Amino acid sequence: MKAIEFTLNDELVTVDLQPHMRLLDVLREHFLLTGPKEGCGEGECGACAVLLDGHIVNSCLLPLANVHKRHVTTIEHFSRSKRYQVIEEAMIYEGGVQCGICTPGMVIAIESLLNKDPNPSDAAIRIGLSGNLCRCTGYNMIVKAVKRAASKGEGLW
Amino acid sequence: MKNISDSIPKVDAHEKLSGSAKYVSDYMLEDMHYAKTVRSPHAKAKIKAIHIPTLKPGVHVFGAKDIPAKNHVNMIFDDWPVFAEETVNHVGEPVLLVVAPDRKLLKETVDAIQVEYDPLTPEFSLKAFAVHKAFKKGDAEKAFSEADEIIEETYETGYQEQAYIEPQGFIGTYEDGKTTLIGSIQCPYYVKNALLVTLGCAENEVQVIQAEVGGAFGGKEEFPSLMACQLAIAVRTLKKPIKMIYEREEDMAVTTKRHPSKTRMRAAIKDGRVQAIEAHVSLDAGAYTGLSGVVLSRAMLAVSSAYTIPNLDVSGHAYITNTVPNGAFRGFGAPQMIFAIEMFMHHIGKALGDDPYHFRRKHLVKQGDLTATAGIYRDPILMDKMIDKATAMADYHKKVHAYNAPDVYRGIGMSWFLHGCGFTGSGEAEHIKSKVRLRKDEANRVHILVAAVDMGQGAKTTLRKVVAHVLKLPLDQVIFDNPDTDRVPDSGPTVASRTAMIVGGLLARAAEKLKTSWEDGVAYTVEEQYKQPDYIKWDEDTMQGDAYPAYSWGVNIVEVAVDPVTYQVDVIGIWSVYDVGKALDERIIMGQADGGQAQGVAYGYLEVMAHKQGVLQHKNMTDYIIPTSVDMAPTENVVIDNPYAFGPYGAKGAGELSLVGGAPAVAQAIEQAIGKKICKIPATPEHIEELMRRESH
Amino acid sequence: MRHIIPETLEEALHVIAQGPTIKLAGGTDIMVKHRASQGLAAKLRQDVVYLLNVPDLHYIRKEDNGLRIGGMVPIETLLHHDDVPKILRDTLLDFASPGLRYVATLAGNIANASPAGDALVTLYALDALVRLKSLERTRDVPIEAVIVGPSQTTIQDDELIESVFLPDASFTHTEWRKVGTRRADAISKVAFTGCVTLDNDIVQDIRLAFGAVFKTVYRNRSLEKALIGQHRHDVVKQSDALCEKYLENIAPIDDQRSNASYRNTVTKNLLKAFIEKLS
Repeated sequence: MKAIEFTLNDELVTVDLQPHMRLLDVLREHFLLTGPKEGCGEGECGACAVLLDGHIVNSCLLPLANVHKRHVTTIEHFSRSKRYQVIEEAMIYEGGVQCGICTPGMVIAIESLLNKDPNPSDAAIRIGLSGNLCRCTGYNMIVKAVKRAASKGEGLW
Repeated sequence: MKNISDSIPKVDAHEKLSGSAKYVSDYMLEDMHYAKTVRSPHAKAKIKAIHIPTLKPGVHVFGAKDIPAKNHVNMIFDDWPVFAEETVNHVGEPVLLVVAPDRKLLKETVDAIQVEYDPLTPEFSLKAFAVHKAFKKGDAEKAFSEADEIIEETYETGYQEQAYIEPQGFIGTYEDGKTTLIGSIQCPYYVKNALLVTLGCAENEVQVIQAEVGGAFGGKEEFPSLMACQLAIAVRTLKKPIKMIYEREEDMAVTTKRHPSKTRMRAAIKDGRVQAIEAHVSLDAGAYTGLSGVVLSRAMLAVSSAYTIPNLDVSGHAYITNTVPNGAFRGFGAPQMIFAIEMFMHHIGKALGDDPYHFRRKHLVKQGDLTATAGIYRDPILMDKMIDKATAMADYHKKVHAYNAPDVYRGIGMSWFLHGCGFTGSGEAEHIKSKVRLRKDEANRVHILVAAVDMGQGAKTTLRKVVAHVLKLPLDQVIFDNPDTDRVPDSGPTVASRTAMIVGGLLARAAEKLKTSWEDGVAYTVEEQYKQPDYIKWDEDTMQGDAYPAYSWGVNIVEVAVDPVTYQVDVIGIWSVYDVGKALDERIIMGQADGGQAQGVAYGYLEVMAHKQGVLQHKNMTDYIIPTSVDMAPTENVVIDNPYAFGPYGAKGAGELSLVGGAPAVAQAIEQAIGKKICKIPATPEHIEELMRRESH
Repeated sequence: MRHIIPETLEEALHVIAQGPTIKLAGGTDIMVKHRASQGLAAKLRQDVVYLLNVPDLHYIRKEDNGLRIGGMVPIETLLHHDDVPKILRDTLLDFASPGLRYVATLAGNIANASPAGDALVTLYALDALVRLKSLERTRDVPIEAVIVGPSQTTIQDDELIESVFLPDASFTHTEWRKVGTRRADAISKVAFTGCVTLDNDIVQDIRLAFGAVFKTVYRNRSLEKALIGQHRHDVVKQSDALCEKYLENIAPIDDQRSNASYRNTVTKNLLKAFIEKLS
């Protein structure tokens, strides 16, 4: 078996780990990137979300082998971007953060959504966030935050 | 910051958004070992023998025989074992704890251990009760004998799982004779006290630190004490860091849930009014009593909710069954009872041919009325104004009329409710004796020393605000680190909507004290302890008097459309008005409102959990359905000011209030949409189908 | 145990020709089904071939009589592709959640053979042909001959799903209804795809497919055939009788998501509502 190489947070990495490890475990335990969280372990809650080539994916479902030669971005790296700044400000302004366990995944979902649709309708926002369960907020303040990010960050997406 | 209610950015928002906030599973320590529990597959059985294979180096097994002192989790009822000893009483009951240096070895060992059982006959029906409580108000017997009409109904509610997104977990470390447990917890001192009882060790031999908590909702009130006791035994023996993080399936299978309930209600009607209610509530406590007695009592205290009923005869039982123990969940007994009473009042109104809205409104509580336990509603009650506001926001009266037409499959429901703030009766003064400290350092920074946990509700932000506001200091001069029992006094558990009101109130007083004695550049500490207002009188045994120091109030309106083809419920809108005294931060309160409503409404129509022979059928987040962003409707929430004299800046409890009225509001809406009486929640599409089928024949 | 990440279809076919393997696409089902505990690799007991990133399986191509979709095209891509029939796009919008749609594939959904697989319901209705390829042969098999039961298919060890072919069809009316446990990110309790073509009020073509009420997606060609050539009003008149016939044939179960009674009633209601739209 050849080593698996992929771009992680803009750096080419090569890892000699079992290819059927979950990407989530590799990120958290091998790279100590603990921003992605394990909430359910079966792709239901989205707390483990990362970007794969700019799209949201659940890292608890991805075997390491499937990211071979692809680009993985975690919250740790995305949080250094200008887009993140806009999302962070909007989330704080609208009160989209409570316990925070779903939040990094939610930010990834927002980025992925705005990437596809820079000016989403309320319905599109709700669909875009529908794979990220939040038990604290009831979602409305997050939906408003996405609206706000889209308008404040015009031209960024 | 002119007005305390003006919102400020949450102090922990950046670290949570950027993924740098540290939850217990994010701790990775040198030489870290892992722990996993061996559990009973039986609902009831005698443990015949335990066969432990030859253990590989570094692998250890712990059980009841390794407990240094008491084999029970320190709680109100001490019947819950840390490890099963002779018998197991529910599926998933812990028998052993395995510790290994890596998870592969851990899993292999767990799989290789064989426990021999003699299965016994389990009990799943409500037959044997562990707790019975009762109280009366007025003369219900007389009212029933003089009644024009007696109306009777039974209401049922199901399990509800907290479904915090972060499963439970601890990491334990050992250094210089001290065992430190870092965990996802609501109540650092509950954990510490449980450790002291189970380990039988000295106060300074254990330390409990709160990691960031990824949601709790009551689920991390008492259960963590069980995990902590098990883990601490291993940590003290092995003197190594050990991590125990539940995966979702384990968490769902063995942690506490909201008690399923059955409430029988009878009303004596005379002259178009309810003269008396006789209510009996039965809770399924599961295998051990735990906190069930308190949950039962809080359910019973909510019996007349926002109505004044002159005569009451209230009783309740918490039953022991061979199922996973049930426990604390936001609302703590109130959601079950408020569902029952709100539906009952609505149903009585209908049965009497009165407009349920008018019928209910004429029973509404007023200031000065007697509470269910013959205490007094001393403070102003703004429900009239709140109801008018909510109905206007939702366009309730127009809609409720329009949706009475057949075949529109739309409905709108409304609930009115209160929530008692803080511990019941004299609990704060007699059991908790809450203590807070403020430490001022040489740099004139003020450190908040309390055991209150920010589990998302924003305590870190609001408590800092209160202290900063009193001292007129910039927020960054006030410091609040996660509680650590070596550093903070016992300000009580983070439960019962008490943190803002009680702990916040004590902090405000401490801050006043500091302000008066302020000495620039000098380090010193001030302390405050809870004192019960003199007028509060409560008799625990007879359940008479003032059950709570204060009440928060709420109105929820929920509108639904029910699909006549699939019976799926679409929540279209939620409108709410709350009286929480004074919002310590408007945006945080709005967050509590939205989030609590989501849980309360979903409890009423969406969230299903059931067991078969003691095995929960909803095992993970795929099976146990909580709302997504698409399921939740836009909301419009308003908070009105009604300052409470003993709360900081007038604040009362807010955390649980927003949950307790959701279920009856959505159930009434569904009832209107389908034209069938709802007496049971969750009102799922399957239940609706059954109602439609049953009555169409 | 070997793990192979082939770079070409050719290489993949050589690998699977050597013996039984686990053919892993997006992994969204396999990784859950074979999950070990946190921190441990999935419990896969055979050689694994990772197909998701094989470029040869990532194409969408118009052919003479229809559309061919490479087996590893992500659901997300199909959602935004104009050549994909609208009824399939409607269906895929309800497929799992955004985080799954970027790695989940039609081939994976077919091989997983869940009776509740949403995409499958519409693939049945569209008469999808599954192209199974091995080193030795290529066969185009109707989807109902590929899936024979829950997690059971007729795909041979040495074959993989190269592509899915959707024969051209234009319908007067189509309908997709997912009845999930909630409104998004859900597994279906019942799912339904209906397609009908009318010409001068006469039914030319009608296809009715049901998910989650039988061991596979349920479609009954003889019942459909009996409706062809009839006036739409006559079809509407038979709606109750037709519903009864479907109920006699489907076999829904009680499970943690729903119960048989509900599934029966909703199947009947969905079908009736669809048929009554012809009036």
